[in-house]
Amino acid sequence: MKHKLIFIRTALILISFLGIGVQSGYAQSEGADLFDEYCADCHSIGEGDMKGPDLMGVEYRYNNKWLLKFIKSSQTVIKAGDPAAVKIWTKFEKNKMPNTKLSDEKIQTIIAYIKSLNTSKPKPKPVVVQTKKGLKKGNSNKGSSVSNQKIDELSSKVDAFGGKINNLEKKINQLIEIQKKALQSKPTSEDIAKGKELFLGRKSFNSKGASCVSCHNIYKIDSLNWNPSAVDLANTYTQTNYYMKDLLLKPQSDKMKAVSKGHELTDNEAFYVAAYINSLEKTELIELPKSHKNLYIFIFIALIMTLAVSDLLFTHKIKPRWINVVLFLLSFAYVANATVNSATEIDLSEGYTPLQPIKFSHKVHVKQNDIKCIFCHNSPEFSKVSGIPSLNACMICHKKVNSGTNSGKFEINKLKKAYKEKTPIKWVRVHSLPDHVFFSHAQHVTIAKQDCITCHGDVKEMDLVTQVSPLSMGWCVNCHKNTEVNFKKNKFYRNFTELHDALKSGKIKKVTADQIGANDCQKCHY
Amino acid sequence: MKKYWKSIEEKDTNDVSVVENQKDLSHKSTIEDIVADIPYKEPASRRDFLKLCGFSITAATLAASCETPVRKTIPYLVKPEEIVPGIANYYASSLFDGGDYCSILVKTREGRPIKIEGNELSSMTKGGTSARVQASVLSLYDDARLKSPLKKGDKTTWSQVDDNIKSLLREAKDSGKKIVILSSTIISPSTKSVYNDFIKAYPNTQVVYYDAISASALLQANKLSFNEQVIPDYRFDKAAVIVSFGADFLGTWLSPIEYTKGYAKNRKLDAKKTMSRHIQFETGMSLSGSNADERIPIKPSEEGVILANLYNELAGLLNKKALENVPKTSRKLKSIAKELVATRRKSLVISNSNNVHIQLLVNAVNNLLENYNNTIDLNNPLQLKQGLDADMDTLVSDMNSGKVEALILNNVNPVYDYPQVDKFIEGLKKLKISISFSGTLDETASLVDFVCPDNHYLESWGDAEPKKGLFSLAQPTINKLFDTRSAQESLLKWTGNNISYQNYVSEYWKKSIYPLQSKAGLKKSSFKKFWIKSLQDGVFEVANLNTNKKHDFNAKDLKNAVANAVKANKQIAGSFELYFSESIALGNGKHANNPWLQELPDPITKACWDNYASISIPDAKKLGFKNGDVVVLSTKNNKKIEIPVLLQPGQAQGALSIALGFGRKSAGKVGNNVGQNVFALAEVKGGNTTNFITEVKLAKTHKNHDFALTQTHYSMEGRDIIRETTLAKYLKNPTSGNEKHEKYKGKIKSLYEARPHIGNHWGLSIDLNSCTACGNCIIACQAENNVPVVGKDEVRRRRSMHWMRVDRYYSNSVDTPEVLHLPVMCQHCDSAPCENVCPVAATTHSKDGLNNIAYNRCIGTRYCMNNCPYKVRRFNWYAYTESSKFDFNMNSDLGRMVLNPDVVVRVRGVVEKCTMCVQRIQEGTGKAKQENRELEDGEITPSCVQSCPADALIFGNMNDKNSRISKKLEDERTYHLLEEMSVLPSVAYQTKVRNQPNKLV
Repeated sequence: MKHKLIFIRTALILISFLGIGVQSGYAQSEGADLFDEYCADCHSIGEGDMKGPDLMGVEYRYNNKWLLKFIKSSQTVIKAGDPAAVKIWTKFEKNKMPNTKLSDEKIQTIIAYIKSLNTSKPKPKPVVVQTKKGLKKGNSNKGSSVSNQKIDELSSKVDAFGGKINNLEKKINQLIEIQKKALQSKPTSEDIAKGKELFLGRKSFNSKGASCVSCHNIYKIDSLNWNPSAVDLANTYTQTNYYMKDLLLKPQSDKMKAVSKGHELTDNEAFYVAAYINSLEKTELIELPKSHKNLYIFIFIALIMTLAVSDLLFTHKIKPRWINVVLFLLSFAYVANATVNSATEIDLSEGYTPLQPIKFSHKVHVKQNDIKCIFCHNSPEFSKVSGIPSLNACMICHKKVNSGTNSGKFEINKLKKAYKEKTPIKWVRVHSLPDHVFFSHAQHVTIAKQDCITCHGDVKEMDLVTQVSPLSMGWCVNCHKNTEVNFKKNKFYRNFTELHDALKSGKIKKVTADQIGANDCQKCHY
Repeated sequence: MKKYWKSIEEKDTNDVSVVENQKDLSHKSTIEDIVADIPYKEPASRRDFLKLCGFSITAATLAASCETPVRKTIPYLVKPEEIVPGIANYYASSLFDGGDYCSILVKTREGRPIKIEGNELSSMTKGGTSARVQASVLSLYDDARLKSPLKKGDKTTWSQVDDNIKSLLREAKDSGKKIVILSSTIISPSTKSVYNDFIKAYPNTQVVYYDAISASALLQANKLSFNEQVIPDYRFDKAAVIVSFGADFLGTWLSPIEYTKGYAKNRKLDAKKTMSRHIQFETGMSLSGSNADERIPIKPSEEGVILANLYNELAGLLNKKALENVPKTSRKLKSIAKELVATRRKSLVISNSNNVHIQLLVNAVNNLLENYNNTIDLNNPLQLKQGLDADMDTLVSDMNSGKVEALILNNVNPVYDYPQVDKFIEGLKKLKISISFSGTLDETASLVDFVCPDNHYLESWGDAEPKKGLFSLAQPTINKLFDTRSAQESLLKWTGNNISYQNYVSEYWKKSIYPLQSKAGLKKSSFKKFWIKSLQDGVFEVANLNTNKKHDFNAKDLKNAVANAVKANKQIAGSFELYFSESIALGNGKHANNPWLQELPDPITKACWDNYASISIPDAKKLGFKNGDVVVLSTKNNKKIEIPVLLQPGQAQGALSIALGFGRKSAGKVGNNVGQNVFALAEVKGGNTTNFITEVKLAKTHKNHDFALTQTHYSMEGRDIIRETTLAKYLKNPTSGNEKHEKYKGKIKSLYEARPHIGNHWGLSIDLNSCTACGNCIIACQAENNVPVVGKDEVRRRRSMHWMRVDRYYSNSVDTPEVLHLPVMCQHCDSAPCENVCPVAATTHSKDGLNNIAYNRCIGTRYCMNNCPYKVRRFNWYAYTESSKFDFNMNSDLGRMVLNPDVVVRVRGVVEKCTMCVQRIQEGTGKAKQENRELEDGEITPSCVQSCPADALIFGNMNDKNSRISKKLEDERTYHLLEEMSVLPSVAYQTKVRNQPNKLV
């Protein structure tokens, strides 16, 4: 029995391999649309339990008649004391599933849709690393022990797949064959080099199709290119050589399908390209290899300066002294200028436009979809920080919005994956003040009634957010000098009698922020 | 003018600078040492020039290639609804630990507790806290806390521990021998109920309460006198004359926060023109003694006879029967007796003696004065200490005779603080099973079989009933940091009950406390509403839960008491008496690993990181001791310790005093081996552990100890900065003692133009008559403003970083000195000398009257420190957050969790100082502006002001003529420090008034 379980386990894992990242196209079937509209808030198909149970394989767990009844009005079934219904209800913390007015046919369409996902292409299991381990165990050491708990877990999974075990076994045999092949063909560095040439278009494909690099970057992910970069692909998809190759041979997304039509890769080409892409795994996303050109120039000129001075003072190798003097003066001017410039720019980052781990576009969200800033950044009115939206805030919409305007499903899938795996996204901070500066959004947004645009620029036009203001002290101070305070209306300022008198007598025309202490050191530094 | 002095050296020398300079030379700093070692060099050579060139180029290159680091910003995955980044949440909770009770508000930022504030809704602590309460938040982030349960010293899991303990307890249950829960006093009604549940499951269980510093004799005496084994409710707010025998009620005795509130109320001279009178008989100089109007040094053995004599004086005046066989004392008690009789029913006599006979005499005196049901209330007893020393002694002998099978230790550490520790350890070895709930691997926990670490109180649910009818709740303010479990939950689990303690508490409240709602005069509401309201308030109070029961005084034991007092009063020539005091900072030593507390200078001796034998100056002269001489102290039972002596003005001659709570061996890296443990020197007499011993001999060694004293720091060169008067003079002329204020006020012209203050002009006023120098503000400031701990060595070099200090000045003779405490922080001068000398304009004046300092601008010339007449500026000699030399709390990730994110952590080489909590001013003004309203008076409170138990500090807008501070400024007692210089400080003081109608000493 145990032996068989391990076998089945291996099989399941392999199947999940096949299915990873298999995505339905952009155009959805009616069933999918209905599911997204009515069910997707609480249920997933093959992505784990949410508010309600994962519906993968639901058609095997319950008979169709029962399902129909339950979906129409779950509470009626529960109140009737149906044990299966009560069990599932209590398991999910007695969340009530709302009744639906959908017709029987429509419900059947949804069930069929769920079913279709299951029979044709079994859905991926998310934890791939575990999969790998299991694989090794299954192949090399069949006697390895599996804890009771795992067995229980597995047998429940087996139940979920109902009577499909026979079918599975057949598939398993095939898969093991494929797997063996995959394991034999481990890419060498030569293969990777070949893959790189193909990817970069230095060598053309047999089919004369466009090279990968014409659409995909290698390192960067930027707004100009909404397609995932090679590094991004390698990091997102699993590390198995076999799988990437398979994807290349049988593209899954509509875009790739369209592109590769008539330009199919050969088996070898796919193997090389996959090897190359996989070799980029764990390469730091976003950051490009650094160029130190300026630094080298600086050192070179500084050296000239030193030599000129030493020669002038000690060695006297170059006789006409003016050469040394001129050399010194020029190089000194350059070095001093470079030093001063870069020193004054330390920690100032006007124009800073970092790439983000997800190709999130403010333009799409703010301009096209008309979402207000404060919907996501929800605390500038009362806190000192405006707040980076938490992932669950993203998921309010993205539980339903599965496909992006520009980037298809690839980028949104990153979001979903992070949410499911409970790994927060490490955004790159654009606007950042040093630790010794205290800035309060509430002070500027609620009290001074400043618009977000004043400091952050026209974010709705930005795919990638740029820091448009220098955020330097001079910039703050100058703004305080010119900005009028809401002096008469805000009751707080009632006891600023001197200023009120001066206003009345016409001595001053307006009260600016610096007149009430906005430029005192300890307004910001404490 | 009276001569004031801070140290004996200063008293004897006229030239203060001599003393100061001598001190300086003895403390060459490390940097100076290094510089001194560099030999003289030849003039610069060509080689040097090239080196310099190379260096500059490298430096310039580095500067040129500096890149702004990529900063990541990581949002919540699922944001908790109640948390808004940047905004603090406050949770009401309760602290009870080792006899300290305080109702508190816990300030949390992004889910981390960072500061404790007082809860004003509590009728007991009324928004006050103490230094220990303030520092308790740091104990949460103590790396010495246990991170998992232990079995025989090895890490294990809870399920394993539970299985093992359950089966062992079952065996113990069947053995027929006793299971004992040895617990510190429990004031939590639900915990008591947990104990009862445990007893139900294991009927052979016995609960023994053990307090390291107990009120055993007080409880017993009340049992004998009134048949009630309680600590009565002392009402200092009602007392017109207070006579205390050794009880440091302002610092450490029973419920100091509550007593300070009541005491300070009667010391204020705002509306009413009367104040209470306080007479203290004591051995060592305590905080209460230093605040007393009269302080009479006595040896602890004299106490009984003085009390008996006082009784007879009173009886004489009241025509009552006197006690017989009372030997005469040399102390003049007649005038005290007269005062007491004059204020009958409004007086209060207390003693902290742990001798039943003395407490009986105290009861008799109070009874004679008819203080019961007036200033002393037996119907609403204080529950903070319930342990009887004799119970513990019985338990230890039971353990040794094999009557005990299992011992469960809850919040006790007898291996450290039980006098007969050897017997206890012996007994511990004979047990089948011993379990400790200690949160750290303390001295006792390291000897037991199982350690099941309890949560920190800020991680736990809980409740408390500090006084009959006053209930309060405790709630967690952070998720558990380590794999710990509340002791109650562990006990319940072992009885087979898997309920969480949170549910247990709420169910207990539903059953037992919710029905009291009608008695509290509240409208009946649902339990849910009641529970939420109680949680939000932190307290639920039922006034006068008990009926006004009459208590008859039982005098039958008095005769015996007198006889005992006479017996105790024998003077043994050539030996000392040794009195055990409790330190303000460390108390019973449980939190010795808290660096904030270790570095809090003792309010009297100004020493930190140490305990010492205080000795009177005549005695020291006789024996040839200097400050810091290490002596070997031996008791009549031949116990010996080595300890330095400290010459203490006002110490009773012939008696030493040493603070308990030091000398921990297993507290953690901060608290280990600081000072000497003297718990073991105490004796057991009549069933109680004495708080003094006799026949102590001293032998000089050749060693000398260097104290970390802040006493000689920052001399004020003997100028007219402390002003005082007596009540009689004050009533005649309110400006008495403060005549100079009028002389200087507005009459001295400054070279600098006066600065206008638009809108608000912040000011602080400190009433020297209320301030007791308890040290709460120092720690409150440290917690709020991320003030680093610098350690013993750096304090010796006078580099303590505390932004505010409380100076202590003596006057009069060294035998009976008068003491004056003076809190000093940045005075925020309107014409500040520090501002004018800063070469980079890092310190400037703000429009609302604050003296600003921008740390990022400061280059560390320290001109401002030189030019500050108040010496309130501090220099960061080191990067305290990065150096391994300062391994206290700020250089580990865990310890840094306590930092206030609203205050920057200062770097090395910059000057810092009090900002009047500018972050709170910003927050307060910002809030008012957002809500479009004027600021209310008292809405903004700096950290020191918020939790002052004596309400000695007032903060507000001096431009507002109706604010409390403006009214204070018009008070005749108000003056400024060094006002003759016309630097126009924003901090004002009110003169100290002593109530000395007839001088006793």
